[in-house]
Amino acid sequence: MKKFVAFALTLILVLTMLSGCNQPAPKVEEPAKVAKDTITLVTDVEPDTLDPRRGNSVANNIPMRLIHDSLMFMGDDNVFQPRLATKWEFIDDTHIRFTLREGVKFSNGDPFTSADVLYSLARTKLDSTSLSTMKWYDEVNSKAEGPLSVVLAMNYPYAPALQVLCGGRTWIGSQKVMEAMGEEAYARNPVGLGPYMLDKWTTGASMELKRNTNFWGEPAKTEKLVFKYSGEATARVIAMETGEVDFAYYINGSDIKRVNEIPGYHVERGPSAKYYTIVLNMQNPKFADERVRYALSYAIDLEALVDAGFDGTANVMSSIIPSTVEGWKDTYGKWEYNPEKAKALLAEAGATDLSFELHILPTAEFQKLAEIVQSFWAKVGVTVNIEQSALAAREAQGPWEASIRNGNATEITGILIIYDSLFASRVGNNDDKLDEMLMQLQVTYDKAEREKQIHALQDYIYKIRFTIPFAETDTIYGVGDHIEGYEFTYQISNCNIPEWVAYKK
Amino acid sequence: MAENEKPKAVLARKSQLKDIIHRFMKNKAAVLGFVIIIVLVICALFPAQIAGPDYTEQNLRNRYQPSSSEHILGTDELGRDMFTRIVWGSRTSLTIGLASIMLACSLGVTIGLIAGYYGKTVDNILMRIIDVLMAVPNVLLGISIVAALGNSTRVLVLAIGLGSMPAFARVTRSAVIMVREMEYIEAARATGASDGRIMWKYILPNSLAPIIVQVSMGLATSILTISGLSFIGLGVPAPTPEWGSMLSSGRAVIRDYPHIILYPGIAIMLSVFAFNLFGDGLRDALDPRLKT
Repeated sequence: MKKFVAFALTLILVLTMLSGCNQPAPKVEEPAKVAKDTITLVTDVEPDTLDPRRGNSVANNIPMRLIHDSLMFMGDDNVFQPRLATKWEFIDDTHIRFTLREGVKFSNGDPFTSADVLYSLARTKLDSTSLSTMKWYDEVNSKAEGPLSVVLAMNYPYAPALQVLCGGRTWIGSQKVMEAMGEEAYARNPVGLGPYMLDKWTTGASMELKRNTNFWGEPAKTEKLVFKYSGEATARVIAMETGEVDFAYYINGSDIKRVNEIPGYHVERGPSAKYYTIVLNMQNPKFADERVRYALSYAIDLEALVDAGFDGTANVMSSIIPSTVEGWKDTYGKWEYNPEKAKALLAEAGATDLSFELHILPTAEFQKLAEIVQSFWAKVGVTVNIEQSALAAREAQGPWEASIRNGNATEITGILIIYDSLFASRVGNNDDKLDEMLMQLQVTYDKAEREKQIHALQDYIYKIRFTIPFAETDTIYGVGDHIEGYEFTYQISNCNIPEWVAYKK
Repeated sequence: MAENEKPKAVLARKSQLKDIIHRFMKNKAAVLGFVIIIVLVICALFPAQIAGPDYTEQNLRNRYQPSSSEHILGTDELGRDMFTRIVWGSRTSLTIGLASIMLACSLGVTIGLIAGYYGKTVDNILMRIIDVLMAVPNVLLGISIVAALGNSTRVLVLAIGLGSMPAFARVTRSAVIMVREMEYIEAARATGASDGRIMWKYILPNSLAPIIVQVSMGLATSILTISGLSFIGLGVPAPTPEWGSMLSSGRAVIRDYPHIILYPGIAIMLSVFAFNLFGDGLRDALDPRLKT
């Protein structure tokens, strides 16, 4: 009996142990993800204004895209999407009718109407920085057909009109508030139609935005955004290392590895709309001889210039426009680097003692590029004096001889505008044929025909060599792994921030 | 009698100079400063012989190289030899520094001499002008002038020279006020010497000690101002090597290639340190109160 009891107890014990092994392990519950109510971003330059007509730089447009809205939108896929306008139709070559979205309100609760559209666009037309971009717009004959319908008139057929209306200089502001506050006050405290509204702007330090509860679309997923400003790329990386920011714009090529090694952060990289060009001022007789311009282009090893100038984060351009732009074609593969040919051409043109000014903006990046170019040109006997100053200060002294410029345009006409003879402060074009081709492109609506013309323009500008386009740079962001909903865009100010949710680490 | 006294005066002057040199040589820090200055001057005078003739030569495929037998201090962001550029940079810094201090010295000493000698209204007017100039920080004045006139060596000399001038005016005025009360000045006046003669022949030579010290101290400040202006892109135009612009171009890669800012930084620090030590030593050697 005793043996039986001992056996039974042992059996029970073994079975109990075995049954214990079969039981699922007690669940260790993963901590629930907690969304932060604030996303902190750091970029390089603080906006100088939030005036809706002054979206003429990426720095201004980063917050403006969040605070303001436009009639339509064009993303990386180059397809128009409705925003404040739900429908648009060409009445004829010079009139477009827009049907405006119903129930849209400004951040202060005022209704949005066609009057705001006409008022905002007319203001943009009058702005000195937008004269060339908006010269097509006929503000006198544009009219409202009711509170939610507007017909925009053009002075002449202008194919890129819709692209111009996708924001930037054409954000829509509130007529009522602007007239009441005055332009200056409005530029610091705008009332907009975007998913966010300005909460606090501490000049020189930060800008805080909060969710616009009156926004017409899907509300922004994060309550608050804080933009910090730091001109030094290294400081932006340090801000990620210390966990001070969730997202950083403009990461240097030399910092990519470092950012990827920061726990909880990674680099997002892709092409961009940013490009760099050497511009020769054609009003200057030194560049009148085509052989001189060819010699200057043969003298530069563009691959070496781009590699050293951007630490491996840019590509050599093989056309006069960046590859992300409508109608791009590989025009010339690779610029020929041939210093001997350059010397021969200079000698043939009688320009063996050529000397001129190369104007650049006062940044370390431009300084580096200018010194490389200066060195290449020195090897073929061309002397270059680098003049480094702010654009406005240099322009006040008259036209420069040559310069290195960058651009960030996604729309073809915006890029080619520097070749327009009316845009005299850049190329100073003196070629009638080029002017004619540019004008023809502006008035051509047919897509296939436009592409043909853009191709012809690239070939022609390459042939005349008024410029030496050399680099299209990458867009590089530092992104926190804890950000959900992030999508890469090469158009820096188009980041889909309202869709982001950042979780506590 | 007079013939016997002249050699005695000469002897006394020689002995005074000997005392000054003796006191200076006893100050080890000042001698160290002097030695560094001599090295800097040699570098500035013979850069091609010391480091090679071409400071612009780029090797874009050999960038950011650390120290090696080929490049003692490595290469910069454009593959240029750092040692060559630092040696040539000494010429830039010393040339602009000296020229600007000469400008500041000649203007400042003249103003200080006139203000100190005539006193009263003349002194008041001149010193208020100097006060206004002193209220503007050197670097800010430099930025304004360079922004308005463009960045060239001449403009830099003018910008830094004008900024340094008030200090010379003040130092000279103080020295002149003390010297003008001396008996030998009264004696000169009694013999009918003109104001100009008294100022230039009797007062200025006896007020030189603090001015000489100010020259040395001013040079240190000028080198810092040049570097500061170059750092923000308003200095000497490229490709002329300048320590401040070398620092500036290396700041983007400071954490990956620290040598690019380390060596120009050391060059600036050493030269400023040397001129300050030298100036301090000179002041101690020239100050007659130390005799007691």
